[in-house]
Amino acid sequence: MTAAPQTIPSSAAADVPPLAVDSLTVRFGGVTALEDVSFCVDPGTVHAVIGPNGAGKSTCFNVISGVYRASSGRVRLGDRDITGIRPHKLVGLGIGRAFQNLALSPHSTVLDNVMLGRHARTRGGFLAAGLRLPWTAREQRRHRDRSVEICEFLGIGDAVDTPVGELPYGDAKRADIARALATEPSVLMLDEPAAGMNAVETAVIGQTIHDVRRALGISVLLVEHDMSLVMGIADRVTVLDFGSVVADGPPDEVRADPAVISAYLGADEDESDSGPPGPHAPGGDSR
Amino acid sequence: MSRQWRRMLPARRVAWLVAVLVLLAVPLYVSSSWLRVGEFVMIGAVGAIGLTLLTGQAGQLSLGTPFFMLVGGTAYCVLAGRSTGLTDGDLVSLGWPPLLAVVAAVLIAAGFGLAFAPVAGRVEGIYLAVATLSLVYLGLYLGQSLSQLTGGTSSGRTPEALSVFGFGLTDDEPEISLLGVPMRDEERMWYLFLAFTVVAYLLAQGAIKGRPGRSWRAVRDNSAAAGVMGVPVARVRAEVFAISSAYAGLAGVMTVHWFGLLKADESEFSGSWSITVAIGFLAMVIIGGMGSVPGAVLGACVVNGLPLVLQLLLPQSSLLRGLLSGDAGFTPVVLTAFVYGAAIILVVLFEPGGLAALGRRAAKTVSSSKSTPQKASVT
Amino acid sequence: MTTFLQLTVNGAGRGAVYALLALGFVVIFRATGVVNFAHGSLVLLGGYVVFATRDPLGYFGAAAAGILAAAAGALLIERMLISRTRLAEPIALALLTIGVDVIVLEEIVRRLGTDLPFLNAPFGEAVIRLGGVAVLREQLVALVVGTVIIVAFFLAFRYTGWGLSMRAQAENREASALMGIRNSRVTASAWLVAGALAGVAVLFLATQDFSGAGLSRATHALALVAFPAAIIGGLDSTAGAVLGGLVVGLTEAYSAEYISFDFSKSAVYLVMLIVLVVVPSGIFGTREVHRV
Repeated sequence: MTAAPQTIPSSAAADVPPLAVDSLTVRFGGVTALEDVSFCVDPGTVHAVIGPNGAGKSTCFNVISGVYRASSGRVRLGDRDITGIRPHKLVGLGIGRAFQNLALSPHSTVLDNVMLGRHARTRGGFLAAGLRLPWTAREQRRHRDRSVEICEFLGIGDAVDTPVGELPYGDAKRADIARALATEPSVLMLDEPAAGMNAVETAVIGQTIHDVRRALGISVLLVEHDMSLVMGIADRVTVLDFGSVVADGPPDEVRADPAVISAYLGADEDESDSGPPGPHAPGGDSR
Repeated sequence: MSRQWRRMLPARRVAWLVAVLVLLAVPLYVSSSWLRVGEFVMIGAVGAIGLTLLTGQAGQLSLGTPFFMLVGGTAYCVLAGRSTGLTDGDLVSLGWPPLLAVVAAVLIAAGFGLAFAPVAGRVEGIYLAVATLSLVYLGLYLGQSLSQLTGGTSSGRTPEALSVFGFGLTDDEPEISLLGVPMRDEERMWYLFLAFTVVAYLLAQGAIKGRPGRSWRAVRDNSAAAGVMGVPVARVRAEVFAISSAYAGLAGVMTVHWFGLLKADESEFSGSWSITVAIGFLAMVIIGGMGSVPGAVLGACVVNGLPLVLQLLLPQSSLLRGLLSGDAGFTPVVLTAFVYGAAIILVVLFEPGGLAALGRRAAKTVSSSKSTPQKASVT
Repeated sequence: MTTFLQLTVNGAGRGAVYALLALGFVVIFRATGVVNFAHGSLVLLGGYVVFATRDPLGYFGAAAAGILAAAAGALLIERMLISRTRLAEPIALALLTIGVDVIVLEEIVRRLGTDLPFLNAPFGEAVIRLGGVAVLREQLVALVVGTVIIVAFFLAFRYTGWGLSMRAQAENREASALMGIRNSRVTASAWLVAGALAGVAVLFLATQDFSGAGLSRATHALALVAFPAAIIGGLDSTAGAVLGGLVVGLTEAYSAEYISFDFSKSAVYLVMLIVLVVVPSGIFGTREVHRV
């Protein structure tokens, strides 16, 4: 099912900047979702942000991708301050994102959905598309080929003409990632890529992320609940709890950190006492 | 274009060619009263195609079509009008070449649509629908008060005949005949409207299948995600609204030529630019299948075609005469309203994809017997 | 100054009637998420029954019959069509109500034919003087009746079990069902109430002093005012509906006098547009949060 990882030539591989989150604080009314959060995604690494439910992982993600606004703090991509930049401009700067709830158009085909990722790289407007001008047709063809290439790399090449709604969940997830890759990002953001998957599917997704990083050389920032995935592929892990950073370091270090263990187990909370959640933990709504 | 043509199945190619030939040959064989029915359907088709792009592809409900039709019709009359100085009073006329006036009128309608962008770009769903309702009232007021442009509610104004290089397309100067059939104003208007409709159709289909359609559907299905993918959501919403307004503007130009008159409405619920017309267009789009261009044409056949067809068949059919007896108030218009009201209900209850979906299903059953692969429809 | 006071009272009277319409509209929306495009038809239905039963039943009997008919009509729409649709999608249900509206509107207009009856109360037109301000009796009655009904509604909404069920269902349909609230009953009652309110409103809408137009297509168009009124106040807020109705009534009255009569209708929608641009979910409406 998984194609042998080939290197797909991409313009992003050459210069991947670090993504630095600096003292990020986000307040919604009276609730402080993030408090002074800082971490850095080094170029070409897989960086995981983990933490119990409500720790602020998705909020952090949404601020980086411009969907939420930070109350204070900065997000920097290389030398460039990208805090508060509108989402649709971030694509041009190299941030690509897949979603927790897929956010695909169910009645459209996989290819149609993935091609959306090419929107910022194409130009045809209403008249150009309507009159079917030769240059639009050529442009569409070029980008369609690239999109198919990306789909094949992710193992869904034979599903490109299937409506997304008809795909099994795992393939739909991969279509979402393909769409994010279609934006040719230098930082790929994955929001709970293993949500709703069993152990086998999780392992496959882990391999896919690994292949993407190896073939393209881009950075991958992921939010995840599933520890087996995180421990398996992350180069660095940031642990959030109640909106603050509790630990930040390589996976083995973090796993043994007593602060992390107590964050997951809690003082009086009724988590199970078998350590941080395993592969079958329910992938709930992270905040 | 030619690529799609080559890719089409031979059966479909033949069907299209036959359809085109038939449409071109119609004026040679059909009486002018029937030609007028077809022309009125084409007006509906153009407006409905614009509306279906907005509702089906971009997911926005609008009741603003009549307003932009009024803008288009008025702009044409003002731009192309020639003041005779006799009975005009103080009508504004600029004497432009008529074809240029048509293009300009469409662009002006689009411009008005863009002016609505602060609302159209940020407001969605039912809120947009009611916001566009305000346009009907605006049109009512402006139509009545700007009588130097619109001709007011009592006498109105006549549109300048559309002629290209001296060849009249909406009147019969100079006289010519095709295959022995005299090409008078009704016949020429048929070809003119056909050209408009075909252009409207092809542009819409091209956009749907290409980059614009993709961005519209993304905004419709999940606007936050679309933004993250690089689609400037508010701008796209404003643009598709402007495009839909342009289509309505063209429909307005066609309307004033069909009636031979531009007249402002006296109330918001009856007349050519009324809420009733707005609902009628919405009905066309719903019945045809939201987002489907061929569906919009079918919907126009029902909503715009049926009352005129019934009117024409009335003298010939005793069944219809019994049904549509004057005393009970069952006029062809009323009957059509019942038909499309019921059709909306049936579509929503049983086949949300409308006539277009029914057509696709029929095509599938036909082709499955020949086992040809069917591509997923672009909805 | 007296003109201003006069306008204010008249505008408030009209606003009270509009508030009744907007309130019914919002009640349906809150309980079921459906935008009822058939509200104008409910108004016409009630009005038609009043017209038809005026002679046998007298004014008040006919009024009661009209209110009942409008309520029953609303219930019928809900039972027969809305609850039958498998689609939970609100936009589909809204389109459904458009279809119903077209049919009912045309049918009633057809039946009325050339009659454009005024549903005036049989007390003769009177102008009442309140401390130097001349007020049309019709507007005053509308204001009083409207206020009484609105207050009664809010009391019921806040303090009765029924009101609690409605609010719970509006908040979270599934959770309310799990708490033992019968969704179908609540929905039916919402439509009933909305219909009844529309039936009351028509008693004022189709009168000489209010609109100058008898029961006709014009009344249906007039009932459309429920939309901007509800939107100004916030589509999911009952208090907003009342506020919106008042704003619309006053805007109409002031703009008709100080700008021009023809402009007054557009003025209402202009105010709505301004509110929409500044506060996209209406004054009291809840802002929608898009979760990604």
